[in-house]
Amino acid sequence: MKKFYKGHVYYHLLVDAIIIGLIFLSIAANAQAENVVFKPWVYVGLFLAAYVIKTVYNILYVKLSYYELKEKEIRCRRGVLFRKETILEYSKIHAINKKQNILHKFFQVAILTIDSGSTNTATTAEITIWERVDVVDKLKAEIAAYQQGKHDAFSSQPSEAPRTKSNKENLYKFTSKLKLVYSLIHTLTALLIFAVSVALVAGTIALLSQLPAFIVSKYVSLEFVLEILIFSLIFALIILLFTFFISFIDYLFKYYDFRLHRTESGLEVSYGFFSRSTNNFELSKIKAVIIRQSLLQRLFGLASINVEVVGYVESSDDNKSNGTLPGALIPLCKKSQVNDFLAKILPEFVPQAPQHKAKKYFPFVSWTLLFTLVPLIIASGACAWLLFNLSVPKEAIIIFVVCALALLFAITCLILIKGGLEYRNSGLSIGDGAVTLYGGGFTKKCVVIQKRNVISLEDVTTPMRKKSGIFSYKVHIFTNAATNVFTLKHLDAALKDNLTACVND
Amino acid sequence: MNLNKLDKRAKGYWLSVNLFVVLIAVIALVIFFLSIDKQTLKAVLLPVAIPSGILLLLLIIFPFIKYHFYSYGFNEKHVVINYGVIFKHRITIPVCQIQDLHIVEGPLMMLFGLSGIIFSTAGSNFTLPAIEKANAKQMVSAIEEYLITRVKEKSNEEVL
Repeated sequence: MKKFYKGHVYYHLLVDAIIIGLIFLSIAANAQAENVVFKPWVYVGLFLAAYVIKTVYNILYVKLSYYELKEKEIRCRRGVLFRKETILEYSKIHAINKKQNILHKFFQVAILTIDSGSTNTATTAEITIWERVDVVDKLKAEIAAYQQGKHDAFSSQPSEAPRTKSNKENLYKFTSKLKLVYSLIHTLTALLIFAVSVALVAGTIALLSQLPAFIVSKYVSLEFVLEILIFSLIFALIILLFTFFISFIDYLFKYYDFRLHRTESGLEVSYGFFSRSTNNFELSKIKAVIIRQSLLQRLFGLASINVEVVGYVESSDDNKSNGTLPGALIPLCKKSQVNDFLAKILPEFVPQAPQHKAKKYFPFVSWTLLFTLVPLIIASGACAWLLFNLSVPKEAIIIFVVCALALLFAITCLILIKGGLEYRNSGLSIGDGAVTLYGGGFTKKCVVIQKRNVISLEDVTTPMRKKSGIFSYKVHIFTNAATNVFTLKHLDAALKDNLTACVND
Repeated sequence: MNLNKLDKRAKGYWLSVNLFVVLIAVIALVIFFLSIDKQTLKAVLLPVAIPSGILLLLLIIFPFIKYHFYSYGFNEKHVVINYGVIFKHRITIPVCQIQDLHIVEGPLMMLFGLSGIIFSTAGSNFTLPAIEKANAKQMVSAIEEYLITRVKEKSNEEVL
């Protein structure tokens, strides 16, 4: 059994001092603002008490935590008050991730997380080891050797520092130019939402201006509304510029030195400046590949590729998914390059063109319209009735009704457009080894799943759709993340048997 | 595959759960109506009372409709669950993909002599609510046996 590295205690001495210090400073500032002033020694005393408790906890955590690599499994025992021993077979490991932030680098330490597909631990990794950075690299290589049954060969080799992979071996380059485009797309999305909101407000004002003049002058001063509109516009533009700047800086550091390498048994994806994350996973553990295209990405002919692997998600700190995006494989590339990239990296996951498309447009909007508009109409009617009975002036009721109608119109348009996009995008293709599902509205999704990873199938229909031979299918796939279901909307009923044949039974 | 209906007591169980919700909603509505003046009450009564009344009525009728559309079945290879009033769902779970089987009983379920079964797979959890206790145990034992046989078959297929 090997103990955790004590360097992590020194790292936490610094980090805890900063965090606890900041908490106490904010408490002190807040107390001063509310005229509740304690003597300085009270703050210092409380700070020291909290700091000492946390430091003692960290020392005990490092002293009491052990790990061991055995012939068939890895064992890890950790915890102070609540002790936990985890035994994980090498064959069950899905992802091995190394995390090192900028302060970790200073102390030459890193965190190794090892993850299996257990649903019970869907939010945290099964095993977390605090070690020296060189030991973490060695551990990664050793676990990979155990997984491939090549440990004897590995242990007979002289121990050497892991080789830094050259730029030539890098399968994808996420250049600053691409990061700039990535940030621009995100900013433009915000701009698009803003433009739609402005159009809605402008539309409502235009409607109001059509009302009799005495109503407008009495209840809504157009000059006042225009002033507010101009102010909002300037404010929104400043926010947009700020968003773009922050977003660009964020992507620049988050995906700093993005590297995608082939290893002996799988793939290694590493990125990050302040917090560098190196993720290793076997090819056989990849459950699905997701190609995403937002509305703007489609306009510019771009796409992003993500991989669904247990334990690899797009988040900075947690290594497990809680509804977050699956891990990035290719953050941004041209749509035309997607198949080339996949053919080079994951040939099993190259998407096939859709063989079957959605049958009708109407099912995409019918129930959504009903479930959205009916409650809104009832609520608006009830409110109008209430205003009428509470003796509110008629002009105000008219304004309310006009606004409610404008809102209903906007929502109807949105549902119809989204339905149209979903109708266009929905599709299915069944190949020998993989199934390709197409779907999504504003964000188009193409999901390639290996048949062996299809866990179960759920079909959904309504009596009317059944008559027309229309079914939706929910494909449940093997992953402990929140995104374990992919829905195919409104396809032919005859496809049920074909899809059922894909389920790994 | 023969499909079975849930135990008839399921209707009583769901109705009790809904009646509990109805009771709380009625108490809240009464307190609200008593706390406002007569003029506001007159204005508010219809817009609040009509939707609330419809909702309460639905809560009472819903268990009977839900029961009508619920059915399940299983054989050596699959477990099938059908449910849904407007949107009809049919779930097909391969027996070999079941990781854990759980029998669940809440206090109200116990009162009605019912149990629920949760089929836990590597992808999602699927629930079969409100079947008779003895039936639930029998079903779990049978699926466990099928599971062992199926896993053996699968490993033989892989060897061949």
